Amino acid sequence: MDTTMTDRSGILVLGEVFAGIISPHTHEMFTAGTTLAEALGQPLTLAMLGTGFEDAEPYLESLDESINVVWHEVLEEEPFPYMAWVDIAAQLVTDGNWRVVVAPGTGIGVDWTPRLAARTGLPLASWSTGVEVIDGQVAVTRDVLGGRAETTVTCNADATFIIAMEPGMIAPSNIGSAEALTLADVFAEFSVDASATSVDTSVNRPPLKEAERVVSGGRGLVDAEGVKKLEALADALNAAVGASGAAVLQEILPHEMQVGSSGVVIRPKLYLAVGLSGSPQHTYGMKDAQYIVAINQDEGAPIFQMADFGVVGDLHKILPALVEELKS
Amino acid sequence: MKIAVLIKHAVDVRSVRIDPETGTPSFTGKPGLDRADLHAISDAVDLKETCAGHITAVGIGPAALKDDLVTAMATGVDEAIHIQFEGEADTLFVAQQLADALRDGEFDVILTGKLSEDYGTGQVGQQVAELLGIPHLANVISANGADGVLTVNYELDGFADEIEVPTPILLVNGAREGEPKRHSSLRGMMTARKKAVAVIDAPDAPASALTWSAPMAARRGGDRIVVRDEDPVEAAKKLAAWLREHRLVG
Repeated sequence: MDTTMTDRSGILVLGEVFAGIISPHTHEMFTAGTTLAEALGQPLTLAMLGTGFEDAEPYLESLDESINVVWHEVLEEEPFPYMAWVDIAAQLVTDGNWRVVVAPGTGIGVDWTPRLAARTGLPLASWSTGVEVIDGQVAVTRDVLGGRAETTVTCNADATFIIAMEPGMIAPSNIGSAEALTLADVFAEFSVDASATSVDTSVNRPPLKEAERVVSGGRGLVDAEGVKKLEALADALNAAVGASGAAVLQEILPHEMQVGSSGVVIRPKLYLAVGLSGSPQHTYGMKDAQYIVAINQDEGAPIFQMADFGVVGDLHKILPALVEELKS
Repeated sequence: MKIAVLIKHAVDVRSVRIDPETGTPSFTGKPGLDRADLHAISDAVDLKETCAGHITAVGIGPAALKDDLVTAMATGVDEAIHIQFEGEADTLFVAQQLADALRDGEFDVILTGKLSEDYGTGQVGQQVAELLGIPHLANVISANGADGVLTVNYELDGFADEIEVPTPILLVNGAREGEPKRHSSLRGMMTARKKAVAVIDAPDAPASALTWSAPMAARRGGDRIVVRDEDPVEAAKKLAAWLREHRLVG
């Protein structure tokens, strides 16, 4: 047997615990880690990094015994809190001979995972949207060209592959008895409700999750005038109203209407996307619609790549014209 | 203050066309400076004016990168270093070449773009900082170097915050809407073309552990009709007819 070959084995997930709360993204990383551990038949180690373990630890007691759990306190120091994360992560990564390290793609993760790769000299795929094992090799999918196309990045078996996931792109799974918080749960706390926007709630529209037809608006709606035009179209089609994350952030539409990884995932017969670009977080929630129509001023918007029918133009003029046409 | 700005030569993502049959992207526009870098250059020139600074643009890439360095100089950058390299390499190799070129320059501030529009790994800036053993700050909105003190306005958890930071430091800019504040001028281009660009040859890149598949757009079946340059009423008529034809009208 060739003893010079290093047999890399084991999956390491670098989880985040912020003041006793397991971050929503950690549940997503756990899904990725378990998928790889099962596909490769290798053990999974869950390293919980952060602060406030006494609150988070009880959840993990019910975790499957085959999963090795380690805790490491991270003492952040301002103004560069990521430094402490690099130090601890680098030690954990170099102490083992891991096949794969799953690292966070959260706000702070984006700061420290490239530094981890530089310090350890290991390959890193950031902004990964999915993981898989192809012919025994670990691969991730990720968006390129501003979300207009996708690529697969495969890693040789003789290197430890650091994978940072894009938050909200993979279904979270419960870690032990800790409920898998989703980004939508966290987001909901800060979100705008319907009464704060100009949405007309007096009209009885089909519920978003069950509607056969959905008319969704994005930042291109601009204001209450745009919302009215969108609602008129929804009513002409007997459709539900949906929203992109950008429209919710700008308080044009309420969070209850958000479609995507931070909102609802739907599969209507018709999805009519108006004034939204089609970010990966949004398309996650509607890509399986049977028919997709896009109306947008920017022909380069990624949403056109998935549309069956696209109209390049000004939604503020096209929507009223379309409503007239549908009434005639 | 000695300022460096890191740039790359990228495809013009805005001119992308996707072949509906194969899902393969192609580009009608000319490759050039990445948009995130245009903002970094603009920010560097803003910073320079607050502290009587001197800016060096550093880039790694093919022969055509020289034009991008000239554009940077026409926008207010003082000198340029071109690390000549053809082909593909991991971000860490790229970061190592940049760090080597920067190491002896005693730069106080190094600026970079956040995410390039082509492959968008968002790794090189942070990796250069790590290799140089200096801190970095991400999501930077603007920097001011008045009185030799570096004050940075940056975004933290969705809010703008201002802090004084030690030097040397690497600043990664934040995502930006719209056009950069500063542009290359015609007169600037004429002067910049006469300036010398320092050249360094990069070593061969080691074999990469990673293999990237060719970019491919997600393909869907269906008609893939695109209506453009039409009167809104005409466009609406076509869409309404299509919706009726597919029995999508309630």
